Amino acid sequence: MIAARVEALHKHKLDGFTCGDGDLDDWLHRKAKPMGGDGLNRTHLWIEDQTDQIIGYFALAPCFAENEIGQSYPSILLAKLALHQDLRGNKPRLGPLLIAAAFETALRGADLVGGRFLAVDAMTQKNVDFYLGMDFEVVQEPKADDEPTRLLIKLSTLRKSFQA
Amino acid sequence: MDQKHYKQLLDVTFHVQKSTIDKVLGKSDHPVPALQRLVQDYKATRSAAH
Repeated sequence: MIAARVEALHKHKLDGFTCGDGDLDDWLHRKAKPMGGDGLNRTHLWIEDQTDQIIGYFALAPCFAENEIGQSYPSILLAKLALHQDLRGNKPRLGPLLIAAAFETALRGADLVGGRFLAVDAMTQKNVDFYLGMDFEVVQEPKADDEPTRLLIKLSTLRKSFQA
Repeated sequence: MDQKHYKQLLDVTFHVQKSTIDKVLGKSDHPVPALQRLVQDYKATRSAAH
C-alpha cells in the first residue's frame, strides 16, 4: 500500500509526470498553472511520500447546474484526473484512490464556500458504472463518441460517506 | 490541446433537466456502502501528516 498526500501545484516540477494521455499530460505541463492563476480551476497533485514524486493529479472547477426554469445550483466539477502511467494496473488499484482524494478535496472546498453537487465526467462505460455504483446519477448523456457522460452526486451524500 | 478540454472548463453553467436534478436532490444522505469502502481504502493511503 502506498502512502500519499495531496499538495498544491506550485510546489513541484511537473515535467516528469506522464499518464500516457497526451492531452492530459499537456494540460498539467502547460495549462494547469495559467488556468489556475486565472481562477478558472485548481489543480492538485497526488504525491507519494516515499519518493516525493507526482503519482497523479486532479483539477477541480466551480460550476453551476441549472435547470430549464432557471434554478441554479453551485457545484464543483472534477474536471481532470490522471494517474502516472507506471502505476496503471497496480494492485490495489490506485485510480479509485485518486478519485477519493479528489472527493475529499472537493469537500474541503465546499466546507469553505458551499456547494450542492459534485459533477464528474466519465469517458467510458466502465467509468460510468464505477460512479453509478457510488450512487451518482447520470445528468448528461454524450452527444458524440468523444464526449463524456456527466454525473452528479450531492456533496452532502459524499460528506456522509467520509464521516461514517 | 483539444478545444473540448477548454470548453469543459469555460462552460461553468451546464443544463440539467429539472426532473433529474430533483431526483438527485431527493436522494437521502445515508452513507453509500461502495463509497464508504472506497473512502476507507483511501484513508489508509493518506500521509500521517493529514
